[in-house]
Amino acid sequence: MIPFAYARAADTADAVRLGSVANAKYLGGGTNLVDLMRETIERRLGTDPQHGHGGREHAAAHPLPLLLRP
Amino acid sequence: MSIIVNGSAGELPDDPRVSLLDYLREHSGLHGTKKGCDQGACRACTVLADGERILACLALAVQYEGRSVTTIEGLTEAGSLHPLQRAFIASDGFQCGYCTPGQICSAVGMAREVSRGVPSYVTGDLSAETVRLGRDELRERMSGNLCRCGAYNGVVAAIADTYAPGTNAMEAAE
Repeated sequence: MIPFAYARAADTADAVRLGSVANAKYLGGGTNLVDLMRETIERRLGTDPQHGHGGREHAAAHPLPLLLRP
Repeated sequence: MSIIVNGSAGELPDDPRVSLLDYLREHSGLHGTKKGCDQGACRACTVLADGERILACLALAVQYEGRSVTTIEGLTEAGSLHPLQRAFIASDGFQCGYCTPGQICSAVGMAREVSRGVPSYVTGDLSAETVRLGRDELRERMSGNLCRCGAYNGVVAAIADTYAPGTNAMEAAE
């Protein structure tokens, strides 16, 4: 799985704020986000239109926050 | 950051990529929870989070910070088997046993859902406050837990004996 950052929202307003970060995705019940990330199908954060697929270094520099609903 | 597993607090990993399943098996030494498909299809990894059944393979360990997780190891009380475990033995609810911890944790969570009146796909009256755990309800609610040995009849019998005594799990009709 490509590295990502994880953040837990404290409340709804916090979730909206954190969700506005580029490449952020919400992690909620019933999602298949995690298995798509595991198979690196979900790899938006590793894609850079300027430099092609950036890989781990790029991913680490531009982490994808995963957010939980409060 | 800590998580409570079977009543004991443990430190969560720094890396958020660690699944709850890998945390239990590789970090906590709890090998009772099994990894079948690792993609949410087989439910061999079913555990209880605050009493709700969840798939540990699709859960990130960090998601469960501060939550209480119960695995098959945590269902035994004072060294004696959980009633469901005894029923699985009595009813031959397994052959190889790989799916069994998930089956049992799932059934415990299912019984809680039924007691709360949560409807299933086959529940006729969605507004009813109580649900009767008959044959069709039981099979529907456990249908996600796969058993490749095909010990389903024994699984159903064990769960029916524990949570719906008097129900003939083999009956064709409700």
